[in-house]
Amino acid sequence: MKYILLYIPFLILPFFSSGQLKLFTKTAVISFSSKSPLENIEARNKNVLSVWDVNTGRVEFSLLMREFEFKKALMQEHFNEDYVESDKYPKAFFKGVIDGGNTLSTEADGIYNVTINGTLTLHGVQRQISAPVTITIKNKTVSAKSEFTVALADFNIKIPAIVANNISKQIKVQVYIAEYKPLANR
Amino acid sequence: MLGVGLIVLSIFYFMKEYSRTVANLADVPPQEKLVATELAKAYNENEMTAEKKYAGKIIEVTGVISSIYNEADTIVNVLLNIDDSLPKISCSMESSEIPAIKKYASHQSIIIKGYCTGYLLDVKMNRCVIIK
Repeated sequence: MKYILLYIPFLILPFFSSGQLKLFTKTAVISFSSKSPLENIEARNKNVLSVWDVNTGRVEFSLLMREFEFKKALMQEHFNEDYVESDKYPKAFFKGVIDGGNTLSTEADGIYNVTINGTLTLHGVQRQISAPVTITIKNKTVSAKSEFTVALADFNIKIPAIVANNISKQIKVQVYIAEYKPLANR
Repeated sequence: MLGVGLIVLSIFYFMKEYSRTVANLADVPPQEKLVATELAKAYNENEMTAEKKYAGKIIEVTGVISSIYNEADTIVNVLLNIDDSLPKISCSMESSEIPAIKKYASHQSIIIKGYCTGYLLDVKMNRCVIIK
């Protein structure tokens, strides 16, 4: 794909029309954790791309699977090579809509508890998910956080029997955006 | 006796391998060395081909700083390439490198080593350390 296409962010979000307020970040943080009796596993990706069209409530996330950082090297290697197959499926995406998101205003300070519904594409599999989101607006600074769980089986992620007891079948996912900025300022 | 020795060695190896932490890239030799524009051109011309060649590898890149993004000293990304006709190389710095990177500014030359993670608006490198 030619760079010129990718350099124009509007083209990756064709549903947006001009004149709408769009917020953007390249440093959303998504972390996940697995807790099992044998061990706890955590990983974090701090370079997640997200765009939020405030007028329509539409939100998108894109990330590179290889950007997830683990403490233990072996876990990171197994994650990329065996479980999510990052060579084959290097990116994950989410496209969704905030319920009632088109009524939110970034001008009004407050803490808003909302729900987002959309499609998560991971490991080449698409699944509908729904998650609670807390949006905080303070002095026109917009931050957001969310937490939800995904089932590995839903995304055809297979864990070998020998380590099956080390990894939870339900993975907790946390999303944190310290600050969404106007798209033009990216 | 030999069997017991082998079992002990195997357990020792397993424990060492299991507890191995992700290496600081300062201590890891690069698998590729190139200039930032070359890496950018490779992804610009054919993302799939560049992905096979560079993604998942430790790369040492020489380039000119376009800008430095600092989010509260927790997320610091150095963007390489001042040529706007090419993608930027986004280098997410290792936290131990943050004090050092603050001495750099736009349009300065720099050599950075990092783990190439792929392409998402920019060519992405993670766990980056300053070489020079």
